[in-house]
Amino acid sequence: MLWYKGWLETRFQAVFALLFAVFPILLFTLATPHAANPAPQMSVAQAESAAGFFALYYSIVPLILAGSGVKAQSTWMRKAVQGSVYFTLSLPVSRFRLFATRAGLGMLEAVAILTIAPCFLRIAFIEPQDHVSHSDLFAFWVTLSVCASAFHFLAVLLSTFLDDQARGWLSMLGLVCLYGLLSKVPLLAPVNIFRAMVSPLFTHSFPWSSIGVSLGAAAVLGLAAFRVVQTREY
Amino acid sequence: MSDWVIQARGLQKSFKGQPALTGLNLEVPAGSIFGFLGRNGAGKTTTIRLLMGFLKPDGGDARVFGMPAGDSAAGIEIRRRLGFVTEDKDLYPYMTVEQIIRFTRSFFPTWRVDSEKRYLKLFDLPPSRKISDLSKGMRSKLMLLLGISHGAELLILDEPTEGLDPVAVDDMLRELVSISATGGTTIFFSSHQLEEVEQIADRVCIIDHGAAVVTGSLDDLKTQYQRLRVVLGAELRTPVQWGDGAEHVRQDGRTVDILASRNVEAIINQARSLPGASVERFPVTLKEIFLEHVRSN
Repeated sequence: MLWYKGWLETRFQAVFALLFAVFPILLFTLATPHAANPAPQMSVAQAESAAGFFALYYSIVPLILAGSGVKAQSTWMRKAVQGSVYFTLSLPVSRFRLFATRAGLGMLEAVAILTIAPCFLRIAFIEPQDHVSHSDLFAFWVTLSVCASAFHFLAVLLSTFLDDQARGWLSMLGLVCLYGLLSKVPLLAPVNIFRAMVSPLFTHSFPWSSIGVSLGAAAVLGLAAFRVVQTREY
Repeated sequence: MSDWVIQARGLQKSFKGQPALTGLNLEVPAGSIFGFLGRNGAGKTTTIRLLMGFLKPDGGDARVFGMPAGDSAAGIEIRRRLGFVTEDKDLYPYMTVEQIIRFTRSFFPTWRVDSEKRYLKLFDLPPSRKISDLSKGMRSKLMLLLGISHGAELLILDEPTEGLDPVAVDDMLRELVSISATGGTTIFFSSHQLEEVEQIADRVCIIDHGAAVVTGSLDDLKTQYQRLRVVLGAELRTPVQWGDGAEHVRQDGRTVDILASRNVEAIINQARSLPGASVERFPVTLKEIFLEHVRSN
């Protein structure tokens, strides 16, 4: 029943995340009939850069759905609604179960919504001459989901001491700053996670090192968030 | 099972250097209705949060059902055996009454559907109503239903009658007595309402500045505490050093009011030995005991 509670708590966020993911498709669909000419051809570097931005956009989805199971008490912005925390904590379940259920549910919802990203790419941009197969799109979806899990667990960590609104804004700001840093500083190009997310579309293989780093970061951030939930006094 | 459902020894807790509990000792016997009294900020809610394992003590030890309250593994077992009504009576606002009952039921294999139905009817709780649309009093009743229906051995209630109208307060107090009498459930409740405590509690603890100042059986306290009114033959030039047990002494002209907690007969004899003095004794209410201790503290 904790899953059920989690779903009731996140259903509006899930709908918002879904609309957020669908928004570019709507925009594209509305814009296409007016396009007299086909889109200009891009170089591979330009395409990678555009795809990196595409990855950044969809990385916001897991940030919307993050949560740690026990609401933050208050923030520097405003006092959160916290009363039901005591009811939750009075149930005969461990804090680990509360945390794992909520964080896991948020991630599952995000992964489900992220399936829209490869579908959108397939419908909107990929031409037969691009040589992007369905397995490449699948690899892209897996990579996007795994790499975005690091951002998800960063937002989960933030949710342990910030309310939903503050956590959402702060994590999105952090994500955009990271994107700016990675795309503007040439020295950081090899660790550009956003390019790694879309690399299966260009290299036709999984970026294993980026997947490993992302999983490691997600695990560290998840453990840190759980540690806060476990040791925190309410 | 141990004789004590709740035991606390030298419990200490501070928040940002401000002491909330300063060595609280507490013993709640099984099957009792225990009133936990104190002013705002005296440490009642902090004590309850420590017992529930929401907070960890800075010093001392708290045990519920003989298990350490702050231990995470023991905490699950403790919470399986108790029902809790929070101070704010906040539940998930997005659920309906029926949904939260179904949700809570899933955690307790011992859930009693007959009890659930009985209290839904008794408390007049509409199953399809959203919790966000319930008054504080209704939420209080709903929390009590959730606590009772899983067959809790201990009910911890933080200001359970707050927000209820007088009729509902009376109904709830009767129900608490009935639960304790029929099921042997221990009830530990904090309150500001001394009359309510006096009406149903068989044991009390008065807490002030984070420590227990009075604790014991209500009947014993009422027998033990006496108010004495001494009318002197003439105003005394030097104040009298009253014997051991004279807790609070107030003199107004020739009249001396004494709250005695023990050795009442010795104090009466001492008063009678004064020239021309007459002594009257009066029973003491819980409110008087509370006010005298809290004011003098």
